[in-house]
Amino acid sequence: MSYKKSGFNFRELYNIAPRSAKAMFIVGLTFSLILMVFVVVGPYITPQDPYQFSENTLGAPTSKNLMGTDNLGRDLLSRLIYGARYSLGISLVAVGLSLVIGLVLGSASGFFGGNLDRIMMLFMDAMYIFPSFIYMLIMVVVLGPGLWQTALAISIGRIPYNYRLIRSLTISVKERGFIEAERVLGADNWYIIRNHIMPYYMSILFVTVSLGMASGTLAISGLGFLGLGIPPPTPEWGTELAGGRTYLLGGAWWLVMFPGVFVLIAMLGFNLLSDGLDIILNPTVRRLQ
Amino acid sequence: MKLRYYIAVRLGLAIPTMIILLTTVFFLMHVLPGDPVVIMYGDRYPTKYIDEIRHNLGLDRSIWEQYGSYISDIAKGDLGISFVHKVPVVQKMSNTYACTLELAIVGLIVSTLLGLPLGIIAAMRRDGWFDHISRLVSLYIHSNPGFWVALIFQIIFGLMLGLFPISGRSPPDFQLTKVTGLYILDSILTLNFEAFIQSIRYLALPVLTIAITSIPYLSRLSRASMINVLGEDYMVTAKAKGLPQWSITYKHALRNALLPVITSVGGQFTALLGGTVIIEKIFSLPGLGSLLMDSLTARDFTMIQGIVAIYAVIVVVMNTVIDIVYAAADPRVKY
Amino acid sequence: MSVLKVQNLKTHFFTPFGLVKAVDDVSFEMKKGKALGLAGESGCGKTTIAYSIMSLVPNPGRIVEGKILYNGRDLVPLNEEELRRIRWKEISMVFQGAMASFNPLFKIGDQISEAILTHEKVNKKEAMRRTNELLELVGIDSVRANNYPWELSGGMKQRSMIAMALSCNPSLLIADEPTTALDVIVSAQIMDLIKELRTRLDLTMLLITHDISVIAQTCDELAVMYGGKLVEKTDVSKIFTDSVHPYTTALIKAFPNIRSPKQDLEGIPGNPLDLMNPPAGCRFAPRCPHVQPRCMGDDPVLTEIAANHYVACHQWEEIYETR
Repeated sequence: MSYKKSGFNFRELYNIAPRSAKAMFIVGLTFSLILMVFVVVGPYITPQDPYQFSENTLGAPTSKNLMGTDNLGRDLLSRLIYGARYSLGISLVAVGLSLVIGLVLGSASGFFGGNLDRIMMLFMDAMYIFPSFIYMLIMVVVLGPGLWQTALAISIGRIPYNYRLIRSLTISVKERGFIEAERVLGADNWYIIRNHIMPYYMSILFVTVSLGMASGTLAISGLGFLGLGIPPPTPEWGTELAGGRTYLLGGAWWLVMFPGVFVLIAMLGFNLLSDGLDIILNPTVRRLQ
Repeated sequence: MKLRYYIAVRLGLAIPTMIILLTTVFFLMHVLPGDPVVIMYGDRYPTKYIDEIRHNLGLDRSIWEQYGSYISDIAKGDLGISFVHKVPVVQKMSNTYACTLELAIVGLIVSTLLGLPLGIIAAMRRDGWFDHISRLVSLYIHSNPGFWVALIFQIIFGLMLGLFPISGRSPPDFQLTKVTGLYILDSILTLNFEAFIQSIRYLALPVLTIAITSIPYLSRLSRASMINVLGEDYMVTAKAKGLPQWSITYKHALRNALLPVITSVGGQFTALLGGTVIIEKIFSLPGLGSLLMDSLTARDFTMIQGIVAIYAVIVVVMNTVIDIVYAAADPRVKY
Repeated sequence: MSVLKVQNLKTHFFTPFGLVKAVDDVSFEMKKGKALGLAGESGCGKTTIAYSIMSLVPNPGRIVEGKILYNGRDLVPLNEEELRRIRWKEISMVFQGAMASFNPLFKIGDQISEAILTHEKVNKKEAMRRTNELLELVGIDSVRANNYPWELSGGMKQRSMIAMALSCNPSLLIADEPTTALDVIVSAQIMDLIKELRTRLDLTMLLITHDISVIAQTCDELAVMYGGKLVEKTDVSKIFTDSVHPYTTALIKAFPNIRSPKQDLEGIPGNPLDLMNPPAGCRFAPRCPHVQPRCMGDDPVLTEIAANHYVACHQWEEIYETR
C-alpha cells in the first residue's frame, strides 16, 4: 500500500465528493468569479456610461438598454455592473478586515487562555447576542457616510462570529494529541503549522470567507436600501432598489426587479460556493449509516 | 439545584449581561475615529452652535463621566429626553416596542412551525427526492435578500391580488383595548374577533417575509441535528427493542434532535430582530426599527441610545428565556 | 431442539467504494440451553451476523441469501411488523459498548419498562416492579432505576443493558462484545454475571467476542470466523487440544498459558483481510503456515471431521495427522 503525502490535497478531496457538491461548487464559483470580475474591471466593461443621463427616462428594457433606464435615463445594466465594486468590493474589504481582527483576537484568546480569554469572551458574547445589523446601522451613522466607514461598520458586525470560530479552532488544535505526537517525532513548529494546522484552518476559512461575503453583501445592500452607508448617486445595488421603488407604481418594474436579481445572484454564488466547499472539504462516511 | 433556582440565577445573570452589552455598544460608539458631533450635526448647524450641541448632549464630558451617567440613567429607567421630539424617550417608545416584539415573535413561531418539520422529514428521507429538492429550494430562498422579497410580496399579494394590506399595522377604523400591546394577543384576550382577523391580515406579509428568510436556516439545522441523532447507538437499541415506529421517531429521535435547535432559536431571534428594521420600513409598521431609522435620520442621539438599550433588554430577556427552556428540556444540564 | 439455525447466510454491504461481503455463506446451529461463542478479529463479520439475526443490518447492507430459522421459522422474508414482534420478546441483544446504547434523555428504569410494556400485556406498575426485579437480578440497587444513563458507571450501564435484554424473557440472547469497553475487573464481574444468569435462567446464548478465553469460560461451543466465513466450530472442551484450523491454533497460541513455562508470543503474520477484495481461494491462505498451492485457488468448504467438529481447511487431514 502506498501512502499519499498527507496535507491539503484539494484535487483528491474534489474527486471523491458527491456530484451535487461538485455542481454547487462549480456554479457558485462561476457566479462569484463573474461578479468579482465586475468588481475589478466593472467600469471598463459596462455597455454604457453608468452616469450618463439621457432623454430615455424610465425606459423599459430594450436591446439597447437590456435592463431599462432609470428616472434620469441612465442605463440600469451599466449602473448595476458598476455598482458591483461597491456592493461586493466593500464587502470584501469588510470580510478581510473582520477576518484579520478575528484571527488575531481569536487565536490570542484561544492560545493564551486565562483572564484575557475570559474578558474577551464576555464582550464578544455580549456583542454576539445583539443583532448585528443594528450595530452596523448605528456605526454607519456615527462614522458618517463613505466607503471605508461602511466597510469598517460592516466588519464590526462580523467580528464576534469570526472571533469565536478562530478561538474554538485554536483551542481544539491546541488540545489535539497529534501536536504533541508530532513534537515527539521531532517536527519543528513550522512543519506542524504548515502541514497540520494550516490545512485544518484553511478549509474552514475558505468557507467562512465565502459566507462572510454573502452576509456582507446582504448587509451593504440592506444599508443602501435604507439610504445609509454609501451616498447616492453611487449605484450600489440596495440604493438602486430603494430608488426604483418610487417609480414602481408607475409601472417601472425593472428598476426594482434587476437590482434584486443582482443581489440574488451574488448571494446564490457565495452560498453555493460555501456549501459546496463545505461538503468537499469535509468528507465524512455519510452514507455508510 | 432545582429548576426554580436555576431560573432565579439566570434572571440574575441577565442584568450583568445587559450591562456588559450596553457597555460594549457604548464604547464602540464613542471610541470611533472622528468627532461624532461634527459628523452628525456638522452639515446642519453652523459651527458656532456645535459646541453648544456638544454640551447639551453631554458629549463634552470625559468618557467615563458619560459612561457612568449612561448606565445609572438606564438603571433608573430614565432614557433621557429625545433631542428632536423634546419628550422623554420612554414615552415615545411605549407604543412602538410592542409592534416590533409582536412581529419578531410571530415571525419566529411561524418559521419554526414550518422550518423544523421540513428539516426533520428531509433527514428521515435522507438522500431521497424530498431531501435534495428541499435543500436546493432552501438554498435558493435563503439567497433572496429580505427587502427584495418583501417588495415582491407587496406587489404580488398586495397590489396584484389584493389579498393582504401592504402597509401599516391596522386599518383606520381599528378598535382594540390594548393590554400588552401585542395586537393578536390582545384581541384574543378581549375576545375581539374583528380585531383578531385584522391584526393577522396586516401582519401576514411582514411575517411571510420574515419566514422566508428564517426557514432555510432552521430546516437545515433540524435536518443536520436529526441526521446526527438517527445515527446514534440508542436508535439501534430502540429498534432492536421492537418499539413501534412512532415511538422510535417521535419519542426517541425527535426529542434529542430538537435540543440543539432550541439553542439556535435564540440566534435566529436576534437575526430576525435585525431584519425587522428593513421590514418595518417597507411595510410602514410603527415599530422600534422605524423609530430607529427616523432617529438616525434626525440625528436624535439620545433616542438612538435609548432604542439600543431597549433592543439590548429584549435580546437578553429572550436569550435568558431560551436558556431556561433548554435547561428544563435537557436533563443533562447541571444546575 | 434447535432454537436457531443459520443456513448459508450471506450479508453484503453495497458501499460506494465497493461490495463488502461481510458474511459470506455462514451456517451454524444453536440448541436450546446451549451457549455458542463466536470468535474472530475485528471486521470478520461476527457483529454483522448478530445484526442479521435481529434484522438490524444498517444501510447499505442487506441479507442477500440464506435462511435464519428461529424455532423452525425463517426470519429473513418476514415484514417489519412481524419482525417487530419477535425482536426483544424472542431474541434480544446486549450491545457492544452500552455507553451510547441508552437514550440520554430518559431514565434507565423507564427505558427498561418501555421494553416490557411494548411486548407484554401488563400495566405500568407491574412493569416498574419487574424492572426493579431485573435490576436486582443483575446486581444493581433498584433505586438506580431513577437515574439517567450518564449518571451510571460503565459497568452499571452494561448490567442495566443485560437487565433490559432479559426483560421480556427471550429465548435467545445475543451478547455482542459485552466486555470490550470495560476494564478487566469489571469485565470479569460481568462475565460471572452472565454465567450465573445462563444457568439460572437456562438461557440460549450467542456470545460474540474476540477474546477466546472468555468463550472458554462461559460457552459450550466455539465457532471461529475469518474474513466473513466460518472456519472452525467445535465443543469448547476440545478446542484447546484438538483445534485444527491454523487460524484457530494461532489465536489460541496468542494467549500464553499462565501455568506453562515462559514462551515467546506468536503473532499471526501478514495483514488483516480486505473484505472488498478477498483473495480467491481460502481467505486465510496469505497468512497460513500450512499453505499449499491448492489453498490459493479453491475456497475450502466447512466439513465435519469428527463428532461436532467442523473445519473449513484443505489441509485438515495433514494437520490432524501431525498432531
